[in-house]
Amino acid sequence: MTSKMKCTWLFVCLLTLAGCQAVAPWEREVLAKDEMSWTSDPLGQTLEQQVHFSKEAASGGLGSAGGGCGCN
Amino acid sequence: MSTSIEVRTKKRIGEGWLLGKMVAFLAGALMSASVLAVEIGETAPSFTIESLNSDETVSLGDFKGKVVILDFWASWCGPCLVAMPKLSALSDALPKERAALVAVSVDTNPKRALRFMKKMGATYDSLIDPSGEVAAMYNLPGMPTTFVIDQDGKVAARLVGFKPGDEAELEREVASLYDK
Repeated sequence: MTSKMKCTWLFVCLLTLAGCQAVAPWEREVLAKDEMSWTSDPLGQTLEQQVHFSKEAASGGLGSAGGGCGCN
Repeated sequence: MSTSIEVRTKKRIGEGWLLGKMVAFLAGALMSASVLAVEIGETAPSFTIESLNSDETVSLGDFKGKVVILDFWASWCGPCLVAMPKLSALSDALPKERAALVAVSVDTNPKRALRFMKKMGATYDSLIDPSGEVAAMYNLPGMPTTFVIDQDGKVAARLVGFKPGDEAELEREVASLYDK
């Protein structure tokens, strides 16, 4: 592969980075909807997590607080 | 011989041009992503937007000379559920001639925002920013975000998120600015 081709490929790869866009906190209206959450049964998931944490003696690492709305 | 050097030089110039373009592209992308939020001590960006509760338009400049609590909220934001009744009580307690609560909803649907306010029994009016233009000017770091703006239009405090007890902190901050 010539260096020009390498540069072209690198440029194409950089172009794809433009697709990585953070959603601003005030634009998370759709993400905050119930149907956008990872689970359809939040209560059941909380129960499962409780069991999992108790068994593993460790917790966390399953997501951030506040759900999809990005609220603190 | 000289032709070969010329070709190699042109090739190098071409590669340099391509690399320069890529660096410029990357720098542009990074710069556009790192717009800074409005910080304490900075002048609060002025705006004129429509009221949610009437057909009027309201400007931040209308409150010049008063201490302003500028609260960005949304009906889909969990902590705003907690904040609204507390801010209602705070708004009622504010001396109207010295301070004002200016709420700005970032809901895209004004009717939903209005319904939410009625449901929560809000005692203050709100403005509506459905395009998020004002929110973008302030580059909110989270929802809700509340700014305390002094009489000169400078940001004196910024509160990101809301938990019970924050209203007392806001009240203290506002009161400390009355005799500024």
